[in-house]
Amino acid sequence: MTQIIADNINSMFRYKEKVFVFLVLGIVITASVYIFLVQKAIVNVVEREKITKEIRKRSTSVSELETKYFSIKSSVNIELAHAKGFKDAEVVSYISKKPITAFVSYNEL
Amino acid sequence: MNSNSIFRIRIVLVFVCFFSFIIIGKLYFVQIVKGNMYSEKADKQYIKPSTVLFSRGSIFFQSKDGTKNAVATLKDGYTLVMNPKILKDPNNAYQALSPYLNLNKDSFIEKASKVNDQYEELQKRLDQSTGQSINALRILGINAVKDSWRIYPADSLAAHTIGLIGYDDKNKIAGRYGLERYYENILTRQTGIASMNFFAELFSGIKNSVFKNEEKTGDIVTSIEPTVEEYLEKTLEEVQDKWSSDSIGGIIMDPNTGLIYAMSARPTFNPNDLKDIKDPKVFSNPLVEEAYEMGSIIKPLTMMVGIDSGAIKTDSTYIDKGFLELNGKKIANFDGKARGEIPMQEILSQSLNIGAATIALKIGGDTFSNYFKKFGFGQKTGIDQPNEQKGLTKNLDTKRDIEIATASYGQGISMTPMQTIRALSILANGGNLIIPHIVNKIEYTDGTSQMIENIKTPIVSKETVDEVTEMLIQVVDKALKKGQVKMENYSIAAKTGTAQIANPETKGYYDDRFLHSFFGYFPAHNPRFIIFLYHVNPKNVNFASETLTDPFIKLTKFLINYYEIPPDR
Repeated sequence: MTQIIADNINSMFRYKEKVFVFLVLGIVITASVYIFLVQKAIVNVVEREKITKEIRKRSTSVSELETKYFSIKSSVNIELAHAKGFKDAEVVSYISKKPITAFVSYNEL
Repeated sequence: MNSNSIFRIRIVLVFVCFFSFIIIGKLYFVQIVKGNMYSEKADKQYIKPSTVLFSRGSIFFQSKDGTKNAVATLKDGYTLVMNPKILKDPNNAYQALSPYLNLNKDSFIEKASKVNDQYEELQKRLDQSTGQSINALRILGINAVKDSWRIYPADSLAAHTIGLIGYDDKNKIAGRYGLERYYENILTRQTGIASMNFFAELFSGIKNSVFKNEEKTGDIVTSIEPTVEEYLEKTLEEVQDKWSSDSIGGIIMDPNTGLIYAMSARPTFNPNDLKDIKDPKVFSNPLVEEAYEMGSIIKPLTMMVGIDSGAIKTDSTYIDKGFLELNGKKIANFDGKARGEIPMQEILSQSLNIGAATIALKIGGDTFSNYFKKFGFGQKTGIDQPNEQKGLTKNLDTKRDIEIATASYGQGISMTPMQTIRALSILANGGNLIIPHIVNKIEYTDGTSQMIENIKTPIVSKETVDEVTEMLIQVVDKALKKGQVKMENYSIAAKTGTAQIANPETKGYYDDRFLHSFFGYFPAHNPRFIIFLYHVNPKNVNFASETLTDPFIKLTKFLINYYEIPPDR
């Protein structure tokens, strides 16, 4: 086990400059990505909180409008319609639908 | 590599192992030994108490044009609170607040006198402008704090169906009745991220994206049509007022899908105003929680079983003596009169108990019981309402002729209104057993949605139900109110029922109390709607045909006009 680790360290020494540059670059890239993502997350959280407040505000407004809607809706009934001059149709006539088969050919061409 | 280097590596390995053991030990201590304590501490840091507002998903009705109306939603406002410890001048404070308060001065002063107290609630549910006006007064010790609460914009409309919220056993606000309870796991918002602190929220997204949360929350969209619901409720109210019934209920359903357009029961309540409710039993939905002996509306089912099992044909006849003696007990027609040899149609047209009993006995107890169980009697329908009851169907298992005979005309077995309309729907949808349901869509907060599946199980043949439907059309066209309610251009299949009500004290039946029921579907050859109505103990009237025929026809005409249903004959 110790010999394997020692061999690995020896082989690393052979490329120590490259390894160093690689590690430094890795740290810089990782740090940049981290900062970018955290900044994005902060913006998103602030934006989401703003949107949540707006949703609640609009939801309250909608619930008030729904209450008004149901109140007004229940006052619109057939009695009101009659009071406004609506009259039920005395004679109801229906149109006849022509059967679709009249237009379909049974002869395969 | 020399031996010195190997020695140093060994030293480093020893240190790594040593620190690993320390870290693992600490982890064990933190996670296992004191896990609960740290968990509680973390929760306290995680939540922002000052901004936690009650949140919950909405419940919608859906109009025939697809418009959604919220019938259970949230409203934001303020709660007025007092800190008596720092309130200097209660009299002046009351003077300033009195335009906004529904609290008398004595109560206000009493609360203000609790000088060792830091929190007294003065008034809840103040609207936005009132709350802001109070805060603008800048009275030290008086504060309007943001609050949010459940409101039901349609007031008592479909109150039993929607249900309401309340405190549960764990002192947590949750759905207690109706859809609010049945869909608690969808509507609840207990893990809402709005309640986290900023840094906790920042990293919660990672957890949510890596470990997907299985329990999705959202809003629910019902198939209840607000105009139809309102019309049904108004009709029920008129019937109850006219006949002084103890209770009344009705259901309008699509027999092909099980989607419910309207369902209502009275007495009812307004979920926005519960202060005058004395008996909480009023919150229970009798359409699924109460079982009744339904009477003669069960006869079409007996007829259906008779035809489907081959025991009878529609053109069969039987000899009606007016009564039957079975197992030492006597049963009779409603008027006790004999009819002689008559066709099957008359069993439904004249609602003859002896006719139904004759069919049931010819079918045989086992076959009859098996069919009735297949119709869903004695089982829950699966409707999306809590606390559904199964009814009482023990008489189907006794195998005695008397119990089979009485069950054939809807006595001796009890069923909920929902079980009844479900079973009767078999006649209207070509012989299938459906699962009634109120919610047809769930809209999840993640933007996805789920349609609720319509389930059908074939029970009897289409030919059989078509034959019974023809017989029920004859009932409306010729027998019901002597044919006066026949609609020339629409075929309507219907049947009335007048049942005796069991007396729990004598274990017999009341002589003067009846349950009236009525069901019908139309257009009968391709039904769009099935309607079921019932009321308990109407006064000074004998038969369901007298009390429920006109309300049924009124509802039928309304639905035909509202949905512009074309004539079928």
